[in-house]
Amino acid sequence: MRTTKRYLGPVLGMLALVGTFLCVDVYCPEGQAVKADSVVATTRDFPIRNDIDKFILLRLHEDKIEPSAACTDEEFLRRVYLDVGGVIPARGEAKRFLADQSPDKRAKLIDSLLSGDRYAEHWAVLWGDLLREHTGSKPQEGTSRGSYREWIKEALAKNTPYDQFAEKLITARGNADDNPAVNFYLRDEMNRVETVNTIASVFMGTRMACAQCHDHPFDKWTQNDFHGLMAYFGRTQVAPDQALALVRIDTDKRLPEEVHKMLEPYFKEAHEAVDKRKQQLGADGEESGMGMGMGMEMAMKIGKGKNALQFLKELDENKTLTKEQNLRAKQVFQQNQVRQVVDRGQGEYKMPTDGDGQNKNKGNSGEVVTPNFPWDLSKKNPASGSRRKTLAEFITTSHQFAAVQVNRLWSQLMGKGIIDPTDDFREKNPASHPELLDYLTDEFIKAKFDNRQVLRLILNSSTYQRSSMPTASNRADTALYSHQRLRRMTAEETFDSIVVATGHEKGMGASNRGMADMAGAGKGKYMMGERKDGNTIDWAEDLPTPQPTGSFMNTFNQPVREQLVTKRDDSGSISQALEMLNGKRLNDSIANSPLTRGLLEQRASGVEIVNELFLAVLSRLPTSGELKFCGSMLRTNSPSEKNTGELQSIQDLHWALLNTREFTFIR
Amino acid sequence: MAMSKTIPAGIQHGIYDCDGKPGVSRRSFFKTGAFGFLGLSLVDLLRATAYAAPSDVAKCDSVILIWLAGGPSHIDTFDPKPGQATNGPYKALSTSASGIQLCEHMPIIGRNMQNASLIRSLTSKEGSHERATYEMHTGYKPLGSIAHPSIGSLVAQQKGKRNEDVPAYVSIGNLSFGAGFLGSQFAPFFIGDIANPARNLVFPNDVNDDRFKRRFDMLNNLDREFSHQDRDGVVKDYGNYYRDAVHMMYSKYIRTAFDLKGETPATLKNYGDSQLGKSVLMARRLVENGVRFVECSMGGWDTHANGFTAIEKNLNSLDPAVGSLIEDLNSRGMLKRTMVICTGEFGRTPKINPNDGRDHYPKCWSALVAGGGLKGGYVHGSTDATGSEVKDNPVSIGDLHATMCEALGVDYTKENVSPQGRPIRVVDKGKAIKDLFA
Repeated sequence: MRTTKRYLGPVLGMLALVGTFLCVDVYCPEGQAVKADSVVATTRDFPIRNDIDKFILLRLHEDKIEPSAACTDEEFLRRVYLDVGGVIPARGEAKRFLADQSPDKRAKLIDSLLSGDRYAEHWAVLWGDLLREHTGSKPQEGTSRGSYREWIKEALAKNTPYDQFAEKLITARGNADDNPAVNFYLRDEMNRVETVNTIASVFMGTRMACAQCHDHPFDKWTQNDFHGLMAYFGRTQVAPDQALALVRIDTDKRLPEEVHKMLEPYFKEAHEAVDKRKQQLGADGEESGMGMGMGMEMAMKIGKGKNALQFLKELDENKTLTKEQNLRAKQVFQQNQVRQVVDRGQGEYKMPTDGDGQNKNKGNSGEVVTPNFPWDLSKKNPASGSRRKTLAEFITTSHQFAAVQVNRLWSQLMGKGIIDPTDDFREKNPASHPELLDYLTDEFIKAKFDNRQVLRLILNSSTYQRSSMPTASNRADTALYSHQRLRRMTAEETFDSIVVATGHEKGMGASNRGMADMAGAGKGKYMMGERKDGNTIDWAEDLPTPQPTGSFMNTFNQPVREQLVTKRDDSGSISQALEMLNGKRLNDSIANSPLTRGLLEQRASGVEIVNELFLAVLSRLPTSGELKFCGSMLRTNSPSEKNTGELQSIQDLHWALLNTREFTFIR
Repeated sequence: MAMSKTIPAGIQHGIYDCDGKPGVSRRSFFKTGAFGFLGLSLVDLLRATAYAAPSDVAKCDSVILIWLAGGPSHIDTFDPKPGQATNGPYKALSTSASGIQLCEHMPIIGRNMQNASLIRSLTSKEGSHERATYEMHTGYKPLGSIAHPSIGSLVAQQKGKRNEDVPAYVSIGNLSFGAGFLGSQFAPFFIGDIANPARNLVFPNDVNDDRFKRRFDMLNNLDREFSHQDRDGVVKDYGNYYRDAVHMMYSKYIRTAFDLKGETPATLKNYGDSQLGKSVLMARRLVENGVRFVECSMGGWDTHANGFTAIEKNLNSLDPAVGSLIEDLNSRGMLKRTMVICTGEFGRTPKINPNDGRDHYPKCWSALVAGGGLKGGYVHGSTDATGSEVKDNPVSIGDLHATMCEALGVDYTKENVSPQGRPIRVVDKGKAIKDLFA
């Protein structure tokens, strides 16, 4: 276990350094003396708000790079809303924050956003990318009974300690109704290679995929490491849950009554099995069999659609069922299939045979592999007990596990990991600020894996709150955090920010929809198409993932969720531009905007209209030049034009603002 | 289509200036009037020079991929087995190429067979639709760790645009494989509904040309300041996409390509009044106007039950579409430099199942290939008497991709680097099929 002592030395040492840093001419590239007023500016612009700033400033000082100035309130407001909640502030919220004169208003906003309900919605998108959550093709992941996305969101909303979050995923058992976390396995069916790659990448920041077929070409990982990890899942199976399938079939109204009668005895047995299992839920240990005592053979046939007709034939001894009843029953059987994750009590994982180029090391094909924790081979597996539990414990207690997560949080807020890419922790890819990474990791562990605590630390630092505008001295810096990054909104952020910028949000914001409300309203709502907040247009969270080809989300680079994505593609395209210029989503939102209609009904003045539109779209007031220009573009309401001309000119301004690069790029 | 003839001057000048030269100042921008500064004629002239005749040494400029989703039965289409128990109800049809037979429901393709070839020995191990479709499009097996680019995106990346005004890669229908790790700039321009190809190219409701120009004028002015934020060129790049998007909206090439009314009633009838017929005809028009890679997809080939009714119905749209495409390209002198490929993700079982259908069968299937420097009237590879095994010259998915690349003059052994730093070849393992080339 590491201690904080490792980085205490530099911290103490740098206090003196920072003193010098702020008073002498170290920023000046040519070494000329800095004038007195710029020293004042420097102290004002680079305060040390917390320890993060010390590590960052020390390194900048060493490299003689000047940090950029603090960002403005307007920049901070928009940045922090999008980074924490994935959406721009509503104009009322923007107005309130900008008018607030209290010195701690930034810290207060950070707290309110971190505890607001948008937090879970926004970070669930990142976790959806990492876990390849999708609702489209696998119905069991998207039912109101057991939605993976809702499970992720709930964990984020409740701020489940991160080690428990990981453990729940790795050790998940049962069916998705009882435990949606099993989708961690179900989404890959029997393919545990993807599970191992996900665990290595997401929880341990390690790219191990290469080692599946051969020793890693430029890292230390061997094929034995990969398969040693695979062996932890040697007893894990995805199997049909016949009992639950029967319980569902029992209540499926489409099942012909005649068939229902014939199945009566099986239903009874199935209900008993499911009830019994519920009572045992949470009990430790591995199942010895498939977990129920019913006639396995019969149940298997129901579980597998292919044999359903054969099964019905056996069931229908007197041949009373019609062809139509048979087919409808078969359909009901198929549609009610349930899968579950179970661990057998025995069995060993064997090295795969060459098959399809899966094993280049033909010599070891078929050999039994013992589970091995590749990040620390000294870890000894207990003689008995769940292998997945053992693995979860080894992972969540390792220092690297915590470091990977704080590095990911840092990267989300700062645009680049202290170790970058964030899933590439290895000796030859060192941290830019090793002491900072250690510090954040220790803070995270000390705070019992509280994600929000780490985010709060970073968000409150001067480092996070720096301008994204580079200076002459730091223009070339891409690694030392001398200035914030300019980033583009993601698909979901763009989608939701259009809702807010056009006034469709119905009071939605950081504080209005409380968490308690979300828990109830949230369950599977994107499947049902109804929103409790009465909003008339969709938010990103209402839509199944991934969205189809050609959709708004797809056009703006929402991943297809088949591959683990640690960093979104943020490139633009002609299709994106066309979507913003002529697309239905944006143009309908503008055409039906309660905001512009409201302004017109209130008989707002030209200045008011321009101000409100700027606040709604760009979260700031216009400059005097912009005000003048926009004012001149608005058509006043002349008797001949009625309202149409005026409304159209407001809508045109609205459209123009939404199409500016200032809307899509976050400073 | 409500497309106007004049391009907003803001596109030519101001923030979206393509080469980064300072545009006309705001004042003179207003003075000259936002529009009418440059009329269509000059714009089109500029564009016309951009779209020069191909001087490429490659044999082929463009590819039209006709994708048969679901896995068409090889025996019931391109690889009939007359007299065998595995043959379905269809008769074999002799074609214009001696010795080559097709299913009887492919007369139009049949009469063009002297200009097309068959690969009857495609083989893989992937029997699931999703995975096999991924592999056929990308040349790689699906992995949870990396999104491979589709072959269309690879061609777009390697060869670039033929005409600056039109996208390099267009996908018509229901395709879900894009640019993967290459990034969205190489993703296909997607046409979901063939009846409305210009979906986002036309003005939204209540917006006409004048209003669009007014909006765009305002946008240009409001956006100007933000270019100071640029550091790595990303802000400018994004502006360039807007410039290209508006170019596309006002492009005569796009307008021409999308407008099937430009075809004679006879041609429309030849291609057939089906989704696929219209898609394939539009593909020809897109290629004529400089698109490099077009994919048209057609579903309905997953024929597990009552398969022969379905296949006959499918062939009634496929045959006129593909047959007429080859005929049309040939009569226009375009076939030499346009490759047509028609295939799906796998074949279907030789044995007919109790539901009168056939199940997935990746062990062997066929592709029709024509043009782009390939031979006509030739069959590469074959299956055994029953259509159960590849008998000679097995062709992998990689070989098919490599053949496409070879014709286009793309070095398929070249490597791209994935975001994880892994070198990924354009084509994983395949080799171009030399025997197919004329």
